Amino acid sequence: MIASHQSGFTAQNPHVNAGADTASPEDRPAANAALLRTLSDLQDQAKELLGEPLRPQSDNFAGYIEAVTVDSAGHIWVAGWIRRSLGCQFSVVIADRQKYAGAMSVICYDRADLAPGDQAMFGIICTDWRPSSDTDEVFLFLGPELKPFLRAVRPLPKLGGELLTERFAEARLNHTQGQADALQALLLDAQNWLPKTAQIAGFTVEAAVEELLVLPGFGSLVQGWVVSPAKPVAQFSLRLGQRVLRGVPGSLSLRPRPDLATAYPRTPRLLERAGFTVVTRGVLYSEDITHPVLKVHFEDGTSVNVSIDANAVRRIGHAVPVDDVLRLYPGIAAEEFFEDFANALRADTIKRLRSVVMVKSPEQNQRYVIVAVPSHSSDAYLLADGVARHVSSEGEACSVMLMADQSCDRGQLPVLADAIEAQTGRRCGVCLVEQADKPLWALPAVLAATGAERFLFMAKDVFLDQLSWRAVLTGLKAEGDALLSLRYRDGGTPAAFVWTKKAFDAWSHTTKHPLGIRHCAGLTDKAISLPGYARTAVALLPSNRLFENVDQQSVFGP
Amino acid sequence: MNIQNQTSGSAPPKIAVISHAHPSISKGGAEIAAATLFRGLQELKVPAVFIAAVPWAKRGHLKLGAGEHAVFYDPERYEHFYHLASADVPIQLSRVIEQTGAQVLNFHHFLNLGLNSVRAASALPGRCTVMTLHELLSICHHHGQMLKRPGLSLCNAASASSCATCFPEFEWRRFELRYDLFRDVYAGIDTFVSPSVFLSDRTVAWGVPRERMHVVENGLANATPEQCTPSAERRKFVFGYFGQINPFKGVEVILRAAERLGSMVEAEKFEIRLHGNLIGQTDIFREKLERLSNTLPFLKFLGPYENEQVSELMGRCDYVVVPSIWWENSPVVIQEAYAVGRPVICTGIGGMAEKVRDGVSGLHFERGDAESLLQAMLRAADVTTHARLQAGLPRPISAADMAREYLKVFDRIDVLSPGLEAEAVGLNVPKPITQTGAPKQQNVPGEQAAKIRKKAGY
Repeated sequence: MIASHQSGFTAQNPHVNAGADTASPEDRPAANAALLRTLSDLQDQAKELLGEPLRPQSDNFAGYIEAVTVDSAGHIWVAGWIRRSLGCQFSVVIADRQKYAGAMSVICYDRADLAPGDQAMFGIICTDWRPSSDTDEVFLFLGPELKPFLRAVRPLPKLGGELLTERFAEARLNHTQGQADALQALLLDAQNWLPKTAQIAGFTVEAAVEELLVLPGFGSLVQGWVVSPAKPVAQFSLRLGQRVLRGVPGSLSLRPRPDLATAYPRTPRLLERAGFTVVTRGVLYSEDITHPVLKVHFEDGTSVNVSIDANAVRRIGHAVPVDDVLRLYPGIAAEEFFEDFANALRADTIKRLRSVVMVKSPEQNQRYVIVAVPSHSSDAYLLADGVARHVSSEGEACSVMLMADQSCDRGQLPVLADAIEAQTGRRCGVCLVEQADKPLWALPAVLAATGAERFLFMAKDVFLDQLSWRAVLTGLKAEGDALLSLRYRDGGTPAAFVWTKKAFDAWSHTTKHPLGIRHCAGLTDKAISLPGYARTAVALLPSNRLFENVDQQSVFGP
Repeated sequence: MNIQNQTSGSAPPKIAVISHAHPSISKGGAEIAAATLFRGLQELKVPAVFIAAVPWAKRGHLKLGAGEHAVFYDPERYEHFYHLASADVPIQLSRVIEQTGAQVLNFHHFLNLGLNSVRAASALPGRCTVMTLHELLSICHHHGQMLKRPGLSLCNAASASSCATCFPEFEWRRFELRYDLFRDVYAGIDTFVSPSVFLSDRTVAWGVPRERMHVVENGLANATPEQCTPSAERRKFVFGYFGQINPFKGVEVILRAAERLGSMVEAEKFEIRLHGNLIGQTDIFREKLERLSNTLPFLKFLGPYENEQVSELMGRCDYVVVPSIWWENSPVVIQEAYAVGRPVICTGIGGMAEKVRDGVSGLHFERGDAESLLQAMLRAADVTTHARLQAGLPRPISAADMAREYLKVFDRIDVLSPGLEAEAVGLNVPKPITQTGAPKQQNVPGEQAAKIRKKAGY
C-alpha cells in the first residue's frame, strides 16, 4: 500500500525555521541545558518566596493559563496569555490549595483575539506541582514581587501531545520574545515522547508505522517506513502507555519501498531502504497497550517522535493470527531472542485460552455433554439439533453445556440453547472461551462450573451419526477412569472423548499441552476407541507454524 | 390403510394436509396445491385438517377456514442450509397433530416447518407420513432449481463435490452432512408424492427408493373453462406470460424474441402480454422491459394480477408462454392454461416438457433461445395449428380428482392399519430401528416399512 503524506507527517513546514533566533540542531543540547540551568536558578529563588503572603488582587491580574500538560520527561507545558510588559522568564509560586515553588519560561506572540496590551504565550514550568482532575482554582504568582498573577481557567483543559507540538509550532512561527530554540530542544529531548515532534525538528523526516504487533511480556514487532533525506536512521524505540521498548540491536531490517516513489519522486536511494521492520523489547503488560509513539533515532544522536495510528496496533494472537509474526519476521525462530518470545507467547496464549465466561450458568449434574459450537451458523443449528435429539433420549442422566468462542454468532447462542432445552427439558449452559478449537486449557474451568464427574466432550465442527451418538452416550453412562475416544472418519486425532473429571484434571496438571494442538489432539494415547466415527463440516486445518516453533522451544525442547 | 372403503363401524383415519405456507398469506404453487387437496378431501367427505406454517409477523393477515390450523414460525430463526426450524415449531406441530387426532400426515414441502418438524411428526406413534415434493430443494441448495452458479446452466445431478463448486463458500463436507440429514429424515417418511414424473425421477436418482415414490398431478380448485372468444378470430394471435417475473422464469427470452419480432412484418399479427410482478430483477432488465414495452406496439407489460383473475386474463390470450430457464416441476400456470383451453408454448425441459406434449398440447422451444421461441410463436400463429393444439389439451384434474388419487396413495401404505389394530388391542409393539439406528416410534409391525427402508439402503 502506498502511504500518503497524510499517513505520515512532515517536518517540511517552511515556517518552522522562520524564528529570529534559529539555532542549528547541533546547538540544541547546549540551549536546552542553559535553559534548564536558568529555570533551576529561578525555581531556587521561588522557594525563598514561599513564605510570602499571596493576594490575587484584581489590579494585578496579568493573564490566564488556558491549557496545560505534563510531558513524559516531567516538564509542565502551558499555553495562555499574559500582559505584554511582564517579560518571558519568572520565578513563580503556584497556589493550588498549597504553595509550590517553580520557574517559568515562555515565548510570546501576538494573537488576534487579545487586547493590544496582552500577548499569547507558550512555555514551560519547572515545578513539583501537578495539575490533577480535582484541580479547582490555581493561581501563578510571578516573582520576584509576587504581585502580578495568572489565573488558570476552570476547568483547566489538558493540552494533548499533538496539540502541544502544533501550538508550539504556531508560537515559534510568530514569537516576538523568549527562548524558542531552547524550548524546542526540550520538546525534542530524547526523554520526551510527545508525538509528532518531527513537525518542529527543523529538518525533513517523514515516517509511518503500518503494523505494530504487540506481545505482552516481550515487546513488539514494528513495520513501517521512514524517509529521512538529511540524516541516516540508526534505530527505533517505542513507547506504549508508560512503557518504553527499545529496538533490539541487529533486529532492524530495511527494505525497498518502491510504492512510495510517487510521494517521493527524487529520492530513489532513500526508497531502497525506506521500509523497516524492527523488534522492540521491554517490560510490557496488556494494560500498557495505549497511545503508541515511535521514536526514530538518527546517527547523530538526535531523534524525533512519530505518532502511530491506533489501527496499526494489533495484539498477537488476539487481533492477528500468530503466524502474522512470520510474515513480518520470517526468521524469528532462529533469533537469540526467540526463547523469550516463545515463552511470552506461550504464557500470553495460555492465559487467554484458560479464560471462561459463563453466558448462561449451567445446572449441576454429575454427567455432562460439553460441545464446542461450530463457527458457521448453519452448522451450529445442525449440531444443536443433533445434541437435543440424542441427549433427550437420556432423560435426566446428563446435561449439556455449549462452549462457544468469538467466531460464533453470539446472538445465536441463546437460540441454540433454547433448541436443546426445548427437547431435553433441562437447562443448557453456555460459556464463551477464547478459542473453542483449543479446548483443553478451558475445560478444567468449564468442568468445575458444571459439577460434572464424568463428561463427553465433542470438538468443534464435529458431527456424529446415530451409531456414534449411541457409542458416546453409552460411554458417558459407563463407569471407570478409562479414557474413551471417538475418532474422525479418516482416522487421526480424537474428535470426541469421554472421561472422568478427576482423571482429566490429573492428566492436565501433569501435561504441558503443546500450543500447536487443535481440538482434542494431544490426548493420551491410552484411550479406548469407541465404535463409529465422527465427521466434520470443515477441513481440519494444520496448526499455526509459529506455534510449532514455540512448542519446539518450550515443550519438546531443541 | 383403507381410507376409501372403510368397513362399517370404523372411522377412517383423519388426514392432515400440512403445508409450508397458507394461501391467505402467500399464493405459491405448493400451498395452492395443498389447499386444493384439502378442499378435494372435504368434497369427498374424508375427515381432514389443514395445517399451515405461518410467519409470526403475518398472524394478523391469516384467514383460517373450517378445519384449518396454523403453526407459527420465525423466518429469522429458520436455518436455510440444513432446513431446520426453531425448536418451538416441531413442538407446535406435534401438539396440533395430537389435538386434531390426525393420523395420515401429508407434508407439502418441508420449508418453514423444517426437517426437524417432519422428523418429529413422523416419530409420533400411530401416524404415517407422506411427503409431497414441490421442487428440488432436497437435492439442490440453489433454491431447489438445479441451476449451476453462477452461470445458471442446467444441473443434472447433485453431489457434494459439484455442489461445493456451485457454492465455493461451503466445503463439500457440509453438503455431505446436508445430504445425510435429508436421508435420515426421509427414512422416517412412509411414502413420497411428486406432481411430476420429472421430479419423481430426479428424487429417485438422488436416493429415495422408487417403491416409495408416487406421481399425482396437482388439481385445480377452479377447473371450469372460461368462455372466451379466441382472439385468432380477431386477426391477431395473443401470447401471454403469467407469473412472477424473476430471473429464473425466462421473461428475458420473451423480450429478446420480441425485439427480433419487432423488425419483422409479421409483427402486426402478434400481441404479447406480460402479467406478473417483478422480483429480484436487475436495473438492466427493468430498463429493457420499460423500453421495449414503450417502443414495441405489440408488447404490453400489464403488471401484477390477482389469482382470481387468471382464467379471465388467460382467456384473452391464444397461447400461454412458459419460458423458464430452470427445470420447473409441475407449474400451475400450465394447468390454468389448459383449464381455459389455451395451448402452452414452453421451454422443452423438465416438468414443462412433461406437462406440455410438443405438437399436441403446445410447442416446445430451446431453453433460453429467443430465436427458437420466435420460431415457435410464428408456427403457433396459425388458425389451423391453434385449433389442432387446442384439441390436444388434456383436462386438468379437479380438487376432488386430486384427492381421490392421494387416497389411493394413502391406501397403499400398509403400515398404518396393522399398527392401529395393534394399538387398539394394547399390544406392546417393539420399535423398529432403521439402519441408521433411529428408533421409529410408530405402530408396527411395520415390516413392510422396514423392508422398504432396507431396500433403500437407509
